[in-house]
Amino acid sequence: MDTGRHKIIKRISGNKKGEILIESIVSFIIFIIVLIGVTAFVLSSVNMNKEADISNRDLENEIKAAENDTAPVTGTGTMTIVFDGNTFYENINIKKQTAITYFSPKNDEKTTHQLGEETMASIAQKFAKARAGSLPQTDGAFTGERIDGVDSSDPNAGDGFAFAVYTALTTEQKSFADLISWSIVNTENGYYIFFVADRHYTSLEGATGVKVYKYDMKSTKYQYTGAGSVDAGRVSSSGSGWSSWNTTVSEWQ
Amino acid sequence: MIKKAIKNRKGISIPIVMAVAVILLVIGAVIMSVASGNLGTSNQEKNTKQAYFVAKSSIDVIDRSIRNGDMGEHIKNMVLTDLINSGNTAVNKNWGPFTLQVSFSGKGLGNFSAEDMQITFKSSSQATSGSGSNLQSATVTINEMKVSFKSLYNDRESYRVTVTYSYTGYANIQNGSRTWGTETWTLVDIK
Repeated sequence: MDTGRHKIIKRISGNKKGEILIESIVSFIIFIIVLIGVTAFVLSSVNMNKEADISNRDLENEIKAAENDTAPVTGTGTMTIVFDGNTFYENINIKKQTAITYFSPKNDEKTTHQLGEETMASIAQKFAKARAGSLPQTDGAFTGERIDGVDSSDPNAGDGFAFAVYTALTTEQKSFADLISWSIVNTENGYYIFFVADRHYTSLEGATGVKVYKYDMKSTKYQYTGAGSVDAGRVSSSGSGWSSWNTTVSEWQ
Repeated sequence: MIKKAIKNRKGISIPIVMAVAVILLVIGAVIMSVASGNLGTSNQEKNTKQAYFVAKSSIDVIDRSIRNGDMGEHIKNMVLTDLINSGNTAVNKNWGPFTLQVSFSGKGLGNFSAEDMQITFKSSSQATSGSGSNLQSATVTINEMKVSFKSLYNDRESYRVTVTYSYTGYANIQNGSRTWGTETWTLVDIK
């Protein structure tokens, strides 16, 4: 005989079964989401470990290659050293691997452009010393209007400053300076190095309408004009027809 | 009795799942943290080694410039010029510290730099013929020439190095032109 009491229990029991089902489903979904999250964590960790392992192994191989200098050359570059008023450009071979990049001296001659840049920078630095009165082999500070490079290799020629500037250059720079004509000239905008890039004029030679470059010692840039002149090896310019400022000298390319 | 049982099981699975989830998440986070640490250490190791190779490469280039290039030539000429300017027949002198600026250009060298480069040395020059502006020949000795600098990679990892050189040489001077003979640069030490 069914009593009311039994009916209530059945209903409650039925209701609870539904709730447990929903609860189980929610729990399962939460569990799956957490599992996916944790799996992603673990997979990501495994990948990171693998990456670290490969990285360590590659690093070890690349270090060996770098120590033995067996890595292939991937490019060239320059190491620039400024020392005691001189700028030295050292050509280098770059050896770039995946993890380690290194370089070594490039055993070849400097390019004309590099030698030109180096020589101009060095002359400028010696001139700065001359102005400050600290250039070796000179008495006092330079206060004149111009220093002419013609015959500067001769200690008995000129005013002594040209010889002092020339003597302070390196052998390579001296050889380069011997191939050009240069003068440091005071203009209304200050001192510039005027030079003929592709010819040396002796003190017995001169010319007009020659291509003369102007080197700005502060910005290290060049301008040229076709209206330059050389008188007894001394370089000058009419001061007109200047090109825009450039970082290169076409004759040295 | 049934009522009690049903009452006890009500909502129990969600807290259990949450507890398990928290445990799993903590384990996952620990694993990830360890792996991330490994990768970080590996990258750190790579950067430190790279800084070492910036230093090593720089030394190779400087070594060439000192022994067979412009820097060495400039240094020995500084000593000789000093002897000439002094007017004496012998000069002993301590030089420096000279501060040098170094820069690199080239593909892949963007993160390379060298700082605090300095050179100091002791010289001893002796005229063997003539003196002052009439000096015709002289011996030049350079001792304890120390080139020191700090190489940097990414402006963070650094490597400090000091290289020591010595030099002996003989110079002939004719009409202001110098010729060097019987000369030796020696790399004494790298630290």
